[in-house]
Amino acid sequence: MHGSTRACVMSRSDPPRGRRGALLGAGMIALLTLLALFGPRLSPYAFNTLDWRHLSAAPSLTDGHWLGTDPLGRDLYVRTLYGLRLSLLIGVLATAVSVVIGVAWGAVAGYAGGRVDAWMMRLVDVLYALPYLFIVLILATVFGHDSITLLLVAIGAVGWLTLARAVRAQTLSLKRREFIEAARAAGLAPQGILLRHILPNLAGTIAVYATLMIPQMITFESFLSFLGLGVQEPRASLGSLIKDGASEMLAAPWMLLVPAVVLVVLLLCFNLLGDGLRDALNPTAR
Amino acid sequence: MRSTPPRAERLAAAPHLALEEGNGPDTVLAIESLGVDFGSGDQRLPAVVDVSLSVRRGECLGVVGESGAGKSQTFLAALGLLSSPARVSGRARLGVEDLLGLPERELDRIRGARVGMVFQDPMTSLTPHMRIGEQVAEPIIRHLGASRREARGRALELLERVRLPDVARRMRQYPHELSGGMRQRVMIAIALACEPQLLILDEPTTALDVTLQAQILQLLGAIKRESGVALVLITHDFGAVAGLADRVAVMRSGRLIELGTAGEVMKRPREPYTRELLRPLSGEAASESRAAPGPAVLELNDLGVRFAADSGWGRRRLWRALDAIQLTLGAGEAVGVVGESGCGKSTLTRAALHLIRPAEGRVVWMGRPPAGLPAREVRRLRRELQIIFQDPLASLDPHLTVERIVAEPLTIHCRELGASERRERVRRMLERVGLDGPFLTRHPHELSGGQCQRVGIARAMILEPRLLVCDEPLSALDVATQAQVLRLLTELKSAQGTALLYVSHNLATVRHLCDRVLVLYLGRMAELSSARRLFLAPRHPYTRELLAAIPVPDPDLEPARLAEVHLGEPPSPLELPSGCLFRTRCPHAIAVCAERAPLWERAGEGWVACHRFRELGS
Repeated sequence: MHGSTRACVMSRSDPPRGRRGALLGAGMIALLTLLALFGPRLSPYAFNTLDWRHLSAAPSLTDGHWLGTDPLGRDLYVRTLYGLRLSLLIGVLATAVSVVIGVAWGAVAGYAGGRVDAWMMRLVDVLYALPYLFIVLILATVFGHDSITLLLVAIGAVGWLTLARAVRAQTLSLKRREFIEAARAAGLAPQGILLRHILPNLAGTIAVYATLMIPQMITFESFLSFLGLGVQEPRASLGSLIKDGASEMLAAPWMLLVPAVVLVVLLLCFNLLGDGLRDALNPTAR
Repeated sequence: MRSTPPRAERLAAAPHLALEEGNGPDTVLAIESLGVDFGSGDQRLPAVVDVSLSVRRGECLGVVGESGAGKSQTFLAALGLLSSPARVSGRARLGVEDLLGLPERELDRIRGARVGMVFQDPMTSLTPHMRIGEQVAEPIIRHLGASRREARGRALELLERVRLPDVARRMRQYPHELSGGMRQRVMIAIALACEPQLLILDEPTTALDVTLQAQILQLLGAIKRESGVALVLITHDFGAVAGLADRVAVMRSGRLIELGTAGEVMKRPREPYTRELLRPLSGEAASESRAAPGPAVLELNDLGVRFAADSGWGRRRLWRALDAIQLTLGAGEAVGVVGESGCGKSTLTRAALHLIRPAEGRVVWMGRPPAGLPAREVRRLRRELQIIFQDPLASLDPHLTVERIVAEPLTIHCRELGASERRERVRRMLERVGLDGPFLTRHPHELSGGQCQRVGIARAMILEPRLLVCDEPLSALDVATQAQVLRLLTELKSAQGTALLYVSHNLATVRHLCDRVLVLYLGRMAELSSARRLFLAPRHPYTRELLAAIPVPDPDLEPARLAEVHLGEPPSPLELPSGCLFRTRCPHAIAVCAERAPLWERAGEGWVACHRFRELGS
């Protein structure tokens, strides 16, 4: 009785911490997504148009290159938004791949328990232990550099390991709850219990993990692109733009600053949203 | 907001409340017209309304009421433990100081040093990572400025004073290594550490079973006599108050409705509500003229369950949670299973429903053993065997509506049912348990404990099973709700011939509901007998101790009864004694009890496992 009193007191006195941040994050993500989709149309240039009159031009409002150009005369505003689009796409798709595999793997392992669980999780441990970057390098040389599918598979394959572990841990604790026992006692089959009682109760956790995973995926893609293993010319992602910008850092600093700022803002927004979601869905904080 | 009549007028209307002034020299804590409300602006929700109470030195004040009556809130507010959204008015004097005006720093000095508090749940009130000795020593170092060494010596003294067994070893252990009763003793030792003037106990025995409850109450009585500390005992149970309290205050919805000496309030209650709280659950025992039980619904043959205790480094030790359980349950029969916590009651329910696999023996459902059947067939049979759980909220899926929860058994076993027909059956079932239309769309967390438990019962009953297993279905509920649920179970049993396997440590409800009772001790059967016979003339010494430990809400009888209870802590299930398991706590143990385990012998129409039941028989 005392516990409930204290919980009620605490929940009312706590400020809606993080909620404003989460809303800001969500709003900014929506804005950036809209910009990535429709922003390039506002400019007369395409992402691969070469403007010979403006090579390495600084940002200016008069010539239409609002954020400047690169040494080949390509418009940085359009290329950054184009890169943002690709980075977002890869981040979201890779996360989706990870979530599907990770949730299925973790929930089945956690619910089955015993030997099945032990084998499934040992496999996860083995995959964790592989020198991941080497494998991506080998895959990239074998299958050629310019493959977004390869990139997706490569990135998605890391993410699901963490998620599988988290989902398994949650499933293990859910499995011991009485309402799961109630469902078993009512005669519900294991797949029914997983679909009807375990997955819906995991939804909060999964949502938080997914939102926090998207920025990780984007970072990883940028990292691969920065190494030259990701998106290839003439296409661009935020990572490849930063790579190009880094080599022109002294002559044309805007080439580095523009995509770098966009990347940082994007990651910050996703992290804000993820933290806010975690606070909102945490049942003990309610 | 409701306007309250002026104080003088109210006191005239309730003259017995005017006795409460609390200005004598002995007064330790005096609360004067204390009010607490929550919320903001116009929507303020009163939690405590104009409560005046006082406690004198060496006195025990019992504060009784159901959950939500504002009992804890009153004292938390008086000690400044409610934070900002709660608005507190009135006065609370400790000695000469008004606590409500004091700054936080001063309050910190007073709490712990001059006032000790003990809460309901001894697990969450102790810090898991600190050794017991350090936790007791901490307030001594902080409030009295003692050295670490002195504090340790003092901690040892305190723990001996609260009669913690094997003190030197326990001081080096962590909270999880102690039983619930021992942890509560440690909490009391911490509360007493700085020789407080006032000890506030908030439901100190609610989480404990009867034998431990009696021991803690005994201990509190001894502390009161020895040290002259003022006690405030907050509880929902008049039984817990009867042996200890000098005066009793009854609270309801934030108001003080009755106050007087324990004798006045409990023998001649003025308020109908107090009478309601005092009314014993068991009127006449369940059904005196009962028909012979029908065909066997559940048989447990020589059932044994083992659990592995992991030491953490790969060494596993198996311990027997249940051993050689033999029980047959016929249609329309109710069998109660009683025993202290940890005796295997809950394990028995799970094994009976084949939710955990037995290591030995077998379970038979309506003539068919589920262990030999294909999984699909076992699931089909489950519609005949349902369960009600101890924690009503935890047993309901938090993201589903009441309608979907209750409909679940139908969606599993009656797939041919249309959506509208299903909804109709759910609605009818909910009406039977006293919940109507609007509840269909609610979620479990929007319901009270009693409502949740009724949803659980509706879910278990909707398929009209032949066996209903109840695992402590009442222990999380208020007295009034308990009576409702008990009535419902009685009705189901007589109207539909449902067999009940009813597990509880509340012996009064077992007596009320059950035809036969099985007494378990450390996973073994101690006695099996008809309920009437068991409660009138118990054969096993353990059964006698259990019955003696039930509190009686009568201030004249209770102190004498409390003095009678002499059951210590049960042994650890990993280090069981030789021979009869109960011999270490049995007042009648002799040499033979240590040599061999007693047989399961027929005794009259019942069964008992004791070497000496014939000589001891009444």
